[in-house]
Amino acid sequence: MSGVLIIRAKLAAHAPLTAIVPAARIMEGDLPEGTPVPAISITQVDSIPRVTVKGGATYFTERVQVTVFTADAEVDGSSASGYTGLRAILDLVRAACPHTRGTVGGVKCDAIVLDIEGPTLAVANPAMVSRSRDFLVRWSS
Amino acid sequence: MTAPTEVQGTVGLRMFISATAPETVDEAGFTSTDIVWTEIEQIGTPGNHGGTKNVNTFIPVKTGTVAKIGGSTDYGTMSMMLGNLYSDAGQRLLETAFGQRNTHYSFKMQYDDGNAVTDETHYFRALVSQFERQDGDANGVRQIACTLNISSNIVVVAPT
Repeated sequence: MSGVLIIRAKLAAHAPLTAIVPAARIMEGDLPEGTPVPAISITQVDSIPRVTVKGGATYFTERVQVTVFTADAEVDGSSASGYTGLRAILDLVRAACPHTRGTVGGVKCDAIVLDIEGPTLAVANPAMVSRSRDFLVRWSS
Repeated sequence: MTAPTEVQGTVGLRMFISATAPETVDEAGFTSTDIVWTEIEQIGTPGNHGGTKNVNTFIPVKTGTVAKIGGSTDYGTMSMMLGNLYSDAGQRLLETAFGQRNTHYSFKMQYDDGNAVTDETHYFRALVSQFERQDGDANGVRQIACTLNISSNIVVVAPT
């Protein structure tokens, strides 16, 4: 879960992003029902430890998924809505998480590597669209 | 406390290096307190170790049966992969050993036998013949390929 902490810290510290998605709406785990949009959910997909023959693991590679939710453009005509809004917010998510080595969010971060972006998904009620971007986050304890 | 009675995994293996040669290549020599062991950290793959015997053959025409006569024994090479950790004293000693043309070092491999009083431990002498940094790609971890050319028999101390 430390990969999630790292990404959350990076996103919440990126002013251009928080100007559109307030830090309070950038959350670890699933978004609570009724969360206003645009909002960002940060979840762990998997965590792979690097185990040495001595046993134990102090180095982990985690796939962290950042999912952006925004209102359907037909419901909310703001620049943060619809496909255009998703595109803009995801570009800011990418800019907020360059490769970083050092302590981030209290965790010793070794690397942040950009990974795949997923499909655009639509939800009918409430009318929203979402898309996710994965990062591979390496950290050590 | 007894030696294990089931097959065990490799996890728990610890490896050590020393620049000091044993007085004798046996348990007494390697377990002497004169030898100070430095642990090698971040071993991902320890590699294989053991001997291969050269077999000479002779075929007497009388019998036509191939006679086999044991010859020399080569204890081979051990190809290790380490996660690069510059601050590790064991890895620094390995690199020092590699930098010396013909200086052999002592090695200890201590297995984890669980509740055994004394873990199964292997000792041998070797020349460090490879210390190669492998950086890989963006998704990789910096590693070191290190080869030990084993120059003595393997001294195996049984678990008890």
